[in-house]
Amino acid sequence: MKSYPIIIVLIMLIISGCGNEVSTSTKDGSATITMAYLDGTWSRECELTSTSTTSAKVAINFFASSDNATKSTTYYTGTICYNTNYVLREKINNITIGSKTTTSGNLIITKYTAVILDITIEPKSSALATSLNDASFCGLTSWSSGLETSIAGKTCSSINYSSVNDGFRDIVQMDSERTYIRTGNTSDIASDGYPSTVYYNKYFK
Amino acid sequence: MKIQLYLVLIFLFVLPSFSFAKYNTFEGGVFTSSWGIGLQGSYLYSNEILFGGDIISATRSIKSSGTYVSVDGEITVKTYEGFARYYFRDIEYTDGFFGQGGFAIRSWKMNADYVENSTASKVGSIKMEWSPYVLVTGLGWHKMWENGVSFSSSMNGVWGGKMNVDYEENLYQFDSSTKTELEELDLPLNFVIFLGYSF
Repeated sequence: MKSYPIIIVLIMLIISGCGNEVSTSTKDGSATITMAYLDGTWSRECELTSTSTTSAKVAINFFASSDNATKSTTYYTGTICYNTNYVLREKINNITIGSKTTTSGNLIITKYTAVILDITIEPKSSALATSLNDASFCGLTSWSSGLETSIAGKTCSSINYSSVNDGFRDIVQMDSERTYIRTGNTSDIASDGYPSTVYYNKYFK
Repeated sequence: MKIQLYLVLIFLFVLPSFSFAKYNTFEGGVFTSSWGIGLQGSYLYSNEILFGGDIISATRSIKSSGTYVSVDGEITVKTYEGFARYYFRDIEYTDGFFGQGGFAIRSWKMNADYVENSTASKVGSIKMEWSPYVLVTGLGWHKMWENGVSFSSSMNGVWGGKMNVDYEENLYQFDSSTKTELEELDLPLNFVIFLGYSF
């Protein structure tokens, strides 16, 4: 009789069962990105620039048939995307969609590479063109309203732009319903040359 | 293990102060447990042996809202149990101590969707499903008062159960710590507090 407490403790430990054997499976439900799915124009909403007194709208036009794309950032003098000031276009070609992977923050993304085709600025007013010529912006004095001028390989306002034929690396994320994409944050580049994170802002078709 | 330890302490130091006064043949009552709220009925076959059955049901909504992602889901736990109980009447501390074993049919499911707030796009989802048939064994203590009111508490464990967890990853990959945390929620133990009436 005196040994009952010990027996109870032992039985208690044994009686708790072996539990449930756990098995897991993980399904990749993320979108598989191809140029065919990217094809078309993806636009972001109007956004205030860092000065908060002007605004900008970004759009990327992917051309699946020629494996190229143009990212156009239209800058406005107003705060809600009115009074177009100028358009910055970054053109890439030879786009190669890479493998699906994850960032360090567990974001499912797809890497892609391309080659810089050109980077241009198009002033949208004569006043701006005159101002750029007067300032010899990017070392150029050929600015003209409505005319695209290449700034590839040049330094403009302390920003060094890539040269034509330079390699280009970016990441893209698409939701599984294929309604939007996000692109890489170019100010957060990992050691492999690809952005580590994506911009929160989304591009919708 | 903490619950088990507390239960052991109760068995060893608190329950000895009680003892059975009267054994009625039938008993019915309600209980709350780790697996939900339930109804239990039993038949005292002999002084040492009791046969019983119970149904347990619980439904919990899983909702949380973060800055970017919200979680919306539900866990449904329905259990049907049949068991036999043996009372160790000759223990010097108490005569209400019992061991029991039985069979449980489970319908346990959990679904949760992670959705991006700004776009309603699916970030990922988790589905958990438990195998329907398991053996359940346990230990407990049972008291019937002379006025018919009865009380019991027990700890039961599952044998031979399986739990499948299916993750679907749409925008984000579930990290290992989240997975580990979820996979530890396999509900292997059921701590039961029962209040009933015997007649």
